Amino acid sequence: MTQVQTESGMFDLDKLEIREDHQITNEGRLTRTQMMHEGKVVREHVNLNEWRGLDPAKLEFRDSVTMTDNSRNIVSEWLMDGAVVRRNGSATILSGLSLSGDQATI
Amino acid sequence: MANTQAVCNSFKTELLNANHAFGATIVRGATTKDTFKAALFLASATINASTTAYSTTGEVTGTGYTAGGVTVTNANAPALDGSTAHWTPSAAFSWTGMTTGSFDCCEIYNSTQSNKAVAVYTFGATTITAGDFNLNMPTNNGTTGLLRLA
Repeated sequence: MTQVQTESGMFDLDKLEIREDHQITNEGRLTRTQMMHEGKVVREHVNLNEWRGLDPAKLEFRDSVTMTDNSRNIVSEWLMDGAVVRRNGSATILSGLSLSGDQATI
Repeated sequence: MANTQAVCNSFKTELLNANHAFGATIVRGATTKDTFKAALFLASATINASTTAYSTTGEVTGTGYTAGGVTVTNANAPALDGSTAHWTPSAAFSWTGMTTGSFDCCEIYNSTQSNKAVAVYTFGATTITAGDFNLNMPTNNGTTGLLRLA
């Protein structure tokens, strides 16, 4: 069993796990890195890559409307340097469902 | 005058108000509406007319989406338009701050009655990234209402 010593204590290497997730916020791209030991967070680091300082010329807004037999769909995207950083959507149901009753024939 | 064979128009509205019980399954002791919910499903799911109850299989997952979906706002009483009974939720289904995979389906189900399925609605496949999604309702009448008995 190999153990490692960190600022947070001594841990069994086989039971250590690194988890990372990303979130897009109004301020920038948030990255949360967590060191887990036996399912519990023992250390966490949060980093924010702020939108400020990026070239506004690289910010793009894109809107699209599509129709299907059942709906009208609108998708609005914000792109930074070609990558989608936010996508909103809406769909409008054009007509609901009709259950037609049959008349009984005797 | 003459007699005409038909399913009575009032019966269609009364079905939506649970006035008739052909089976002996449900006992209603109060005059309250059931709670209906709307859940979203991935484009890869199989939700259709054969679906009998809500299940998490194929349901959307991700930030901003809670399993089971949202509660339907039900301020519109079932009504009769000519010979068609109809009902439509009184507000759009909305989710905010979502990040999801591709989805194209919404199932309405009765969370008061063992999550029994009501209807399935499909729309253009969409993927949401850190954004909002609204599913807007059609006009509530006998031609376009969300659920109609003709």
